[in-house]
Amino acid sequence: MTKLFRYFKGYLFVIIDSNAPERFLNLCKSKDIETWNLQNIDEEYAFYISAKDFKKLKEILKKTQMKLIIKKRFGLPFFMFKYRKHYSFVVGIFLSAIMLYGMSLFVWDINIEGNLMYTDNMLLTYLNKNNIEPGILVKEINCNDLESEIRSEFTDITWVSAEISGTRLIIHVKENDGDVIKKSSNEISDIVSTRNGVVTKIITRSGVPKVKVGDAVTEGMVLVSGTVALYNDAKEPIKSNYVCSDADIYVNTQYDYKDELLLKHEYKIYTGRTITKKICNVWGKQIELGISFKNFKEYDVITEDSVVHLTDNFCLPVRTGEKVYEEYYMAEGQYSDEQARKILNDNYDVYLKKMKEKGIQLIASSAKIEVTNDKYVMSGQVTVSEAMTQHVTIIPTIEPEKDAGTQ
Amino acid sequence: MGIVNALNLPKDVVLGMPVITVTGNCEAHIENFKSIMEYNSDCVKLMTKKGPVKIIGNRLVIDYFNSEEIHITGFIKCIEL
Repeated sequence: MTKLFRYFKGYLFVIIDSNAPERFLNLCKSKDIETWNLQNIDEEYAFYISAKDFKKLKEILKKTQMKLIIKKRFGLPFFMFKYRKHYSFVVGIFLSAIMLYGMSLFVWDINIEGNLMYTDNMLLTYLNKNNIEPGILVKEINCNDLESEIRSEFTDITWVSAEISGTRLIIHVKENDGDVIKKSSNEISDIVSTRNGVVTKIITRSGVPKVKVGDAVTEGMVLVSGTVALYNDAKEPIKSNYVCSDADIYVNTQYDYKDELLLKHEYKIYTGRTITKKICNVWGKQIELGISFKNFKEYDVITEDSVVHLTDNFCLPVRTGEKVYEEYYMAEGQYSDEQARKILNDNYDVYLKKMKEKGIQLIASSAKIEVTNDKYVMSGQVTVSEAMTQHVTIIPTIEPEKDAGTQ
Repeated sequence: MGIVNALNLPKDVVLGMPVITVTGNCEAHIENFKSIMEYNSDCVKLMTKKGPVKIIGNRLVIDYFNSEEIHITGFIKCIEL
């Protein structure tokens, strides 16, 4: 740090030609003149002194009748003085300052944190659709609006916080832990069945239930109607009120499961030959650096890049990284009985796990593997208890109000 | 001196006695010195309140000095008090 301060203030490397520098040094000490790296070379004494203190030396040199030779000048003041007539240099500094300021007005990096269910790509694609992408003006982003838009678009995101830090937009999200999401809007709607099955539980909070426990329902059937009819004393409908249906309905339903696996399959064998190229991404345009004489027929590309930043949050519209081409060729193989069964069972486990993650309760599941000549087929049925949450918006029809007294 | 000893006061502060700190044979730091009496690449002689202090060695360089302390680097052979 001291070196940096010295550089900004400027300093000199000087030589005094004297056999007895002691008086000179003591005078420097008494006048609080800072010198450093004082060394005796042959008959001369060399040392460093700050540009500011150098001016104070005049009086001392006069007193001691010594001669002083400036050997070298260091630091910013001398550098600026040297290039004072290089106008392009001054213009360059001025332009770079303007460029830095200009770039600080834009968002150059979008960072999403806390997402597990929704990938970065999904959220970034959504932001892109809303014209929020690297290169947007900072003042065009309204964090409050953005937060509410994300919450309404992604129902499984329960909490969003968007902040702009430097040239970086940071979005923190918290996802739902798997509970069934209830419809939050107040649109007039029916609740319809999304599956065929049998109703096992129904608790209606708003709307008219059209089914009861034990009823068989089909896909698309209205379970709770948002149209509430008002009757007169003669039990004739006189008016319809429209509400947003709200109910907990569980239906026992069955899912058919089928998975096929061909015993003959193709797989990649990596040759181990790779090409690594440096890449530079400027304003969305990718430039590959370096020339390669290798030519791969089939290859995978693995790209890793990171945004260039001046400080932690001052990002620039430049991304640098590496692109690795990995050569492979396709080979044909055949699964053994054990391998095929394991793959099918694993797929089945993943299928059941995904169902559980969606909040669907498993009641029973059965599946069997059939072996044919060239393939293994796993099929079965999964019985589940599933919540019906599909709302269908209804358009109220305007009816002429009937007289309540008419018989 | 007796009072300073009796009260266990630091002598460098109360009496301005020199404090010499030597790191190996390559660095010496002297506090409370009054003036530089002699300096060349083989010898640095300093005046302190308790008399001269002489540092003998090779390639001696005064790293920095100010009104209170001086830092010497180089190959130090001996320190005479």
